[in-house]
Amino acid sequence: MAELLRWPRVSFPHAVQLTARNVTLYRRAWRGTLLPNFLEPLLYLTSIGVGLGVYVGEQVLGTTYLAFIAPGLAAAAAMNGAIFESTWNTFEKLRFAQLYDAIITTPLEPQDVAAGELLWAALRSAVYGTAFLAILALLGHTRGPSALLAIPAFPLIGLVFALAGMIYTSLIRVVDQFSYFFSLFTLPQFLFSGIFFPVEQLPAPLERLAWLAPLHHGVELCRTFVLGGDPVAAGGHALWLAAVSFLLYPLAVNLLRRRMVT
Amino acid sequence: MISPAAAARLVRRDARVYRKTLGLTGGAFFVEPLLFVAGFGLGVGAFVGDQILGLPYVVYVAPGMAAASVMIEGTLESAFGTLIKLRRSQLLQGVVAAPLEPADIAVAEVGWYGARASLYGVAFLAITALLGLVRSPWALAAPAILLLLGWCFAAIGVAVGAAARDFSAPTFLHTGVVNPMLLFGGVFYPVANLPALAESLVRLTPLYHGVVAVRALAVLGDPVAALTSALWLIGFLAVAVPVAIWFVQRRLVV
Repeated sequence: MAELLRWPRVSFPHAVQLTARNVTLYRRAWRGTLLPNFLEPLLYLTSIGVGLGVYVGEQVLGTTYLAFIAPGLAAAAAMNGAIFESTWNTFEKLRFAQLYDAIITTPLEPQDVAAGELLWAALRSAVYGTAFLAILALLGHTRGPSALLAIPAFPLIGLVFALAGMIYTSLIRVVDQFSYFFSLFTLPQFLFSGIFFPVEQLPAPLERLAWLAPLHHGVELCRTFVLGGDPVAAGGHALWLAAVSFLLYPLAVNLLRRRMVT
Repeated sequence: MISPAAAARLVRRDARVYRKTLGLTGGAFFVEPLLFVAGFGLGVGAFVGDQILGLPYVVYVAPGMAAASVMIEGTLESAFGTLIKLRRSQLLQGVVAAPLEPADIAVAEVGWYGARASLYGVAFLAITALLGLVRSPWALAAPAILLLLGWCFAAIGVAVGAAARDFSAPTFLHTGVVNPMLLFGGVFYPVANLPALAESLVRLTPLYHGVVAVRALAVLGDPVAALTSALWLIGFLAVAVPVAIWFVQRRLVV
């Protein structure tokens, strides 16, 4: 157990090589692979924001319902980007394509591979979140230049989910077990993290539980930057995300490493 | 000519395999729709109140979610399942060597995946009934609607699974068809709230008619509205099943 928590010795240049490999691949195939996951939050924005928004008066949230859910959906877009990378794609490369078996015969060590995948997942989150934010800005749903601060928030959100996904992927045996990850970890966060209604509306025990949800901190962070709010609270959310990533990082890298070498 | 006895043998085989793998994923099928009903029905429902049809919002959403869960299971399981059986394991190439014709295979696959998906919907509706979200005894007729709906989506899934070369087509079916139908198909709000063109498109989807019918039976107690939608679904099946048969036939008979 202690060795799983030991700080991994990663060669940064080697990790970047793996990230670069992924970038090269996705530059060719982004339409079929990157676009579908990106469209999902956009569908929620138009469907729920427009169709359900007519019932939600502006006095309740101080803004239109569409503008209220928009920054939260940007955070969800960042989550999606990292999650699909560290679950399905990592499992595919690990087990079906056996790509990692080939890579670790080169000068890249298993921990370099894991770090490179994390970097790529965070990058993908940044792309998803920023693209979503650009759409919001075009539609006039941002309030001033503080929205630009959300751009560094996206990879921060993505990193936590990349780590969580990598830990889960390193522990499961068959691909079907992913359904539990999505039903019990991702979807509850998507629905109850404050995207569609403030977590203060939840019953008290659930509201405390929401504090443990990474997406909740991501949603609040993005909403503060896009719609305005308390900068101290935003700093707290950013710190929470950074601290949890710091704690999970050695575990995720060492677990995936163990999967590659045994 | 389709032989029901031959098709039933393939269904029995599918059911036996399913029982073996049930423990892996089958236990949690109701979790996702229940999360949607809680998150939207109760969470967003605090804003919506009883503005839609005078119903508590959670009562409005629950029957729509039963229909939507049939769509999700019916479409995706059949599309991925058929693709795997035709391309990876090539199970159906083996089956067609037995006294089963391609048409029997297509009918069996649509029948099996559709019935299985409808069972999920029925179980989910029963759970919502226990939670007090069902308002009319006509709900007892809803399983018939859910079965029709399951077959409609299984026919789409089998057709796509048979036509597909790789996993990109069923993946697109998920992100490009199933998800939009879930969000725009009348589960969360009346389709009249959509722009006119979008509304008329949504009215052409089986999910819309399934949602209307299940809600009419389980909540509004309006069997006439449900019957109209049921007839629409039967009409859809009359077109979709032959299309599914055609694609399976094309794939199995060179």
